[in-house]
Amino acid sequence: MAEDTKLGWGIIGAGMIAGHFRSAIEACPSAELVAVCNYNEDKGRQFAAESGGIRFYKHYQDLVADPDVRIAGICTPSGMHADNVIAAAGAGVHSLCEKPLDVTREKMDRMIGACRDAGVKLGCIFQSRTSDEAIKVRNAIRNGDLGNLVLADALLKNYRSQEYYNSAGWRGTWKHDGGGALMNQGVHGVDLLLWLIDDDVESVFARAEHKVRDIEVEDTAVATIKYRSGAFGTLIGTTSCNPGEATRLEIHGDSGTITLSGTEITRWATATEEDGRAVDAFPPRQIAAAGNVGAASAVAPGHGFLVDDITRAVLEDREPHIPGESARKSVDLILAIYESAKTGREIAMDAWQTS
Amino acid sequence: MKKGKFGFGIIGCGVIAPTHRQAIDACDAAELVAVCDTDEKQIRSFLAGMDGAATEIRTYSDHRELVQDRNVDVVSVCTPSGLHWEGVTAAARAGRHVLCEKPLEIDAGRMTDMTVTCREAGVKLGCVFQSRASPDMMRARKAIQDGLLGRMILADAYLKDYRSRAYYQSAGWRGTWSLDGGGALMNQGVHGVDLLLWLTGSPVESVFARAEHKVRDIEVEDTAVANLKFGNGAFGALIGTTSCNPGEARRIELHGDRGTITVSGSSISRWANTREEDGRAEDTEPPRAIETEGAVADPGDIGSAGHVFLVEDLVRAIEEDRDPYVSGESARGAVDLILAVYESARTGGEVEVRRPGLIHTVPARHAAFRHAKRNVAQNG
Repeated sequence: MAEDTKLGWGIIGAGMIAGHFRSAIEACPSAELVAVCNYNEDKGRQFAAESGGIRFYKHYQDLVADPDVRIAGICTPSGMHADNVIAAAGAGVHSLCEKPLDVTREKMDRMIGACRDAGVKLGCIFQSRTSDEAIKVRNAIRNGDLGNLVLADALLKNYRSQEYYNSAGWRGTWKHDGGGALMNQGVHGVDLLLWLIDDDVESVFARAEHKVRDIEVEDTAVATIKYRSGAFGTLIGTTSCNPGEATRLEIHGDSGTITLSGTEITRWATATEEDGRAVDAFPPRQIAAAGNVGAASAVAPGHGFLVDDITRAVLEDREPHIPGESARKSVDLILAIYESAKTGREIAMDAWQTS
Repeated sequence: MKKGKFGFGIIGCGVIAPTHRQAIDACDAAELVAVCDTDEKQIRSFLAGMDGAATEIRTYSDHRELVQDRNVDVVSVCTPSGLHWEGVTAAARAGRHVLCEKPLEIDAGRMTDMTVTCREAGVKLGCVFQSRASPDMMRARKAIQDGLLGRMILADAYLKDYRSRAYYQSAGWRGTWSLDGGGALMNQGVHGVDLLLWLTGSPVESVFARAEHKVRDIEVEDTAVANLKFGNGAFGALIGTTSCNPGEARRIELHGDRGTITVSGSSISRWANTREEDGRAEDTEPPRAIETEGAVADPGDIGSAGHVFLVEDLVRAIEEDRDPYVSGESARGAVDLILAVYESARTGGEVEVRRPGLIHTVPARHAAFRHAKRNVAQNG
């Protein structure tokens, strides 16, 4: 594609994750990074200089007003995502938003509505959804290879030290992180599970507390789920398991099982006969996120795929791989978990969504 | 009867009875002297498995007669779960000690009656939870009691089994409320539930659960998920199913702020801890076994080894006049929790797990038992 047809990108928030966006934009033939915005000026100007002298803005409202910016990469703390996206939509700018979409239902409603009304795309980063193998798992389940879903569990047992929470003032706060072990660390696993089984949660009962760390949000949560398909599920999210375990997703149907550990498919067993015992079908495979083409690549796995995808989605006027409506499901569930933990009651998703 | 030996009588000659027989044979101080089953065919096939040694074994069709046999000192109760109370209390009233198969019973009131009746009669009541007989599990429990994991955060049991349709059709009482008393949890999962409670060393305070038969055409649940809050503050998840295909090895995962112990099958799959405040736990080999006399390496895999340990223990408990290794009071914990899971699933609300001390209702012997028992005989 010719140089002049490249879509201009602006990055909002020059923190840790902005580097992933930058290298992904640089690797995308149809994209070009033209501006960055950061409230801390020194940090923002440094990022701009390191990015070949792109324009710097202190305020995101100014960045989205830059006529060369067509797509905004949202890398701010979770609780600012909606404000950034709504401003971008108001200026006719598309958004690719870091996970989670935002941290309240009301803000997710508004950001999705603003993008729809403005006719701009809203994509979200969940890099686990981008690999060929993950897509293969989803297709197999949709195809009925596991039979009727019986159980779908996510075990998200992480470890974060107290220093981690002390390292940035917004970590572990309701206002900026919007939650803890689930909303922050666990959201990838929650999103991946819901996406793989292509099912929605009907109701949830949960407990959530900060048991070990001195933070506002939960460091440990256990949720008991009923899916719309009738299957049951358990969701465990913690940052206080010591030393922590690889993320595990365990999906069981009456005629088969698929389990994932970290980025590896650890089990793929299906039955060939009615009421037959499932047989392990192939040796474990990696589901490392797409774009991870080896140690030599500077492009972060997943970000490369999703930056390229939304750039093309804009050019082709189609939905991005992970649209806002789909990305919000994990956040809606996590918010329902918090509500259940707070009230001690089971939350029926439908009634609660409309409440 | 050999001199100085404890005479054992087995009530119920079904699938688990040969394991008790082997364990009794392996114990120097024990000897099988009598068996009982309402179904004569069951007795015949049981005795046929004993080669020539069967001739000295007395046979009964009524357990009330077996417990009166003056050569019987200890009764092994191997009947369906919902008939344990009947066998155990009959034995205790006749002054016999009891080794009861798991689960202790399927009703809280009956369990109270069993433990109280045995105490009042001055006889021992032991229960078969052979997983507790493994030295690995003993080490894990001791390490947790000694504070190796720090403050407990999470304690989970993943009990994902597979049972075919043919399995549930193989005996008429399988999958029934009256005799199995439950499904994936009460029957297959009860070992894992017991191990979770025993290793954690803390009772569960409250539970929210769902339980249904999703795949098999049975009365009881084939799939259950429960959300636990332990007395020590830890959270927990309990998953029990017989409809995961093809099924997974049992896993128990115990996490504290200073370490993690996980059990896979009957072995320790992770042992990690840190001594430092706020330090990262590091994986280590579990400490070498302090050889526990009679303990077995892998009770899940080695046929009757766990039963041998528990038969020998019960004999010694009688001689030393102490509680058996798995006492009735301790064994009922798993059933109390599972009953709370069922109650929560039935009511749709969170349920407090009842404590044995709070239970006063004891059911009278009633016709349902007799009826159920006749069905067993018919379904043989």
